Amino acid sequence: MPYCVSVDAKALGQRSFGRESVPRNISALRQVTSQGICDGLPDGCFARTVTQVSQISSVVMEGICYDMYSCIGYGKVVEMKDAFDEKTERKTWMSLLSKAPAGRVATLLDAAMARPDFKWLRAPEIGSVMVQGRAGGTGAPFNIGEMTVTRCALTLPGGEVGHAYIQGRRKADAEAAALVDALMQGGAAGAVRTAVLEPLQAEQMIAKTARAQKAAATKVEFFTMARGED
Amino acid sequence: MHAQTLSGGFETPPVDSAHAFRAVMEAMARPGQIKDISGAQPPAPLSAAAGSVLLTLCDTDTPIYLAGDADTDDVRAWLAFHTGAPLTGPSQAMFAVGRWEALVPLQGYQIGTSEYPDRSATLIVECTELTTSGANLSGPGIKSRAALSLPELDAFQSNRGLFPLGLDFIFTCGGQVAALPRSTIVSAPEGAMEVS
Repeated sequence: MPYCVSVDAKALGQRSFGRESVPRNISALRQVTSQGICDGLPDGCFARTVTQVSQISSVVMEGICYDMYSCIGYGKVVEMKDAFDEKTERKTWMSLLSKAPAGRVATLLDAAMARPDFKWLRAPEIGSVMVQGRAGGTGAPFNIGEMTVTRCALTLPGGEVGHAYIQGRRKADAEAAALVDALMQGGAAGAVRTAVLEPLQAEQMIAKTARAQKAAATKVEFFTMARGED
Repeated sequence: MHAQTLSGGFETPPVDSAHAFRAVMEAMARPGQIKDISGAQPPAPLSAAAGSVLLTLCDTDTPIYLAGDADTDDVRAWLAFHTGAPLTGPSQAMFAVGRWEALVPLQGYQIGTSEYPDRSATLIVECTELTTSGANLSGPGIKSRAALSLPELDAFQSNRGLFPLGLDFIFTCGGQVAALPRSTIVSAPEGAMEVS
């Protein structure tokens, strides 16, 4: 079964989302590449980066959204393996914004400040990207499936350019995420970080922990004479 | 990355690119006719017409060769943002853009293969002026006679000799576009023939 993704038996809490560290024993599942999304990436680099895999499809999708940004900071084609350890600040907030639930970024942003004027470089548009996966470190790439992505790019009067790639058909969310990205590059970065990014991060952490706890509760301990541990 | 290098794409991509495509298609179908094309404002030195053609026809599957002074950082960034097309040299390019002097010699471009004559390059030639006078054109899409201000004759005549292989040409100037497909027979202007 060359294209089969095996299922990890570990509790959810021990899996990784996005780009964080992964326990060694699921290394066979670590690589999923995203392809076919290089049309109009911000700096013209190819989005051929690695994301780490979870067996739950929605998490894979979020991971891809996140990773589409990983090349922004480099401005060049990123080698797959190098992409693993690189984590810039911008990637961190891009990840947060693309994983945020519907409407949340806009709510936080509007509560914090009046939206600045901006000009569209690319009005929000909806498209689909083919997500590719790879089973094992040497497995052949295969198509996991298509996902819907909303993207946009805008510029503030100060010249900062903000990009957004959001999973699903959510134009308003893409606009809010791009605004936050642009604001984070300017003078308002500190305020935006406190008002938008930190709450988002906290919420994400809570959701992740709750889910891990739910999964951990289903863990079954078997009584055996020898568990192979000693 | 500056905002001004990234602006200047199609305002409403579906509508603008359909209009631009129509202009290119009609120009290609009727060699010698000049059509208006607009929508894009690319960074200098690209003309609005060349920019519109590139935005309409290029995507991630069409490598582009930027010849001569068309190869600037602004143009590269603009193309990358709006089309995602990779940049290559002449031998790999599906599209090449630049002034005629920068694009020649034509031997370096792909002319297609017998099995796949469509795998050939399309050259977008930036002209200082574009008029319906000059070299005589005949062939498919031309009812009686047509003429176009071509930068030279020999190159287009030998390109016609490769048919059904060969290169296709799109001439751009400001907001205007004309085309010379490989099927068109190019001959010297009539006045010049009388002299010789």
